[in-house]
Amino acid sequence: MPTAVKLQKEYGDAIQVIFVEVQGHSMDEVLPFALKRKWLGSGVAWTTERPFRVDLNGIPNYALISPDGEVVSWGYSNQDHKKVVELIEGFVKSKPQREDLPKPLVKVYKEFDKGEFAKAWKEADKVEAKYAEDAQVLRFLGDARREVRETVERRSQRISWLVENGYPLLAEAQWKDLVKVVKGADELVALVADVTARIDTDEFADMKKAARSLVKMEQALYESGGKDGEKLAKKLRKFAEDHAGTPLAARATQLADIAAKVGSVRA
Amino acid sequence: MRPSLSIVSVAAAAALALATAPAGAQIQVGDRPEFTFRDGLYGVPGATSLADFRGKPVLVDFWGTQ
Repeated sequence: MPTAVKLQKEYGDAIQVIFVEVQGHSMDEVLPFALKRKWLGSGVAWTTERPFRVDLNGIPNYALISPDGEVVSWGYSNQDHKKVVELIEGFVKSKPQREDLPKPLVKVYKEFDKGEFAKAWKEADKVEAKYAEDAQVLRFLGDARREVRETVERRSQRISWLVENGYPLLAEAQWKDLVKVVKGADELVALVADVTARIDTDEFADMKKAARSLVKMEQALYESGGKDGEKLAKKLRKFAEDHAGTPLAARATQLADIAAKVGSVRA
Repeated sequence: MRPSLSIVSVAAAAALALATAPAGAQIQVGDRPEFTFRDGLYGVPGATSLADFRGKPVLVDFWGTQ
């Protein structure tokens, strides 16, 4: 466990560690347990829902999935630690591999893989103009455009989720990043229009202001490992009362519950 | 004769479909698991599925609190 938390901290957003509790405990038990050990706030994802199984009896065990979604290794976490680190290191350093890609589309995907969606779109426009009579290239180009559109839509939907669930600061940061990389491609800008409209409101500005104090409490909770949990829980409940009926209140209540339970977690 | 790109692409799609592991199933190297987390993932706001992490390696660690 601690080594995987360390990996997440070391590689940051370049990798994702997901911890799946498989001994039948609920998130109400798992999160105070992780808080006490100062594992929360590390970027690691926590769940009790098992996405798949590996053919092993003991825990901890793992599966490593490549950036394009393929299982590349599984086994016991402690035994395979070195192997996992080497594989992750390789993925982080390497560029996406795209086999069987028609040459005219190379530049399109080069920009797409960098997250430069508008540039990818403009490259696609050039290819479309140059290969207007080539049905095969146009078919692949259609796939490329769909992939770009779906990626922008997915990111836009995720930002909407963040707004609806009380993460306005994160939503704004991700929205700014997205706006930057779709600028200049009207069709892509249009896909972000809904979320832009939600962010450009007085209500959103108020939510951001309130969220700043919630984030401070959340960070204090994570950094302290739940020390003075009852005291923090009280502050968080007061925040929830003051912002009753908002998604921020729901977040504060969840954090208060975690803080309140940390005292009963065994060392 | 070299296979056309469309044949290659259809074959690749078929291979992908065969390799896709159903949720909760036992996986093997080469599988492409897909899964949506009903209750989301605590710690990564807005992420709800394995597909949300496409583009980066994902280490799924199975552990217990006992």
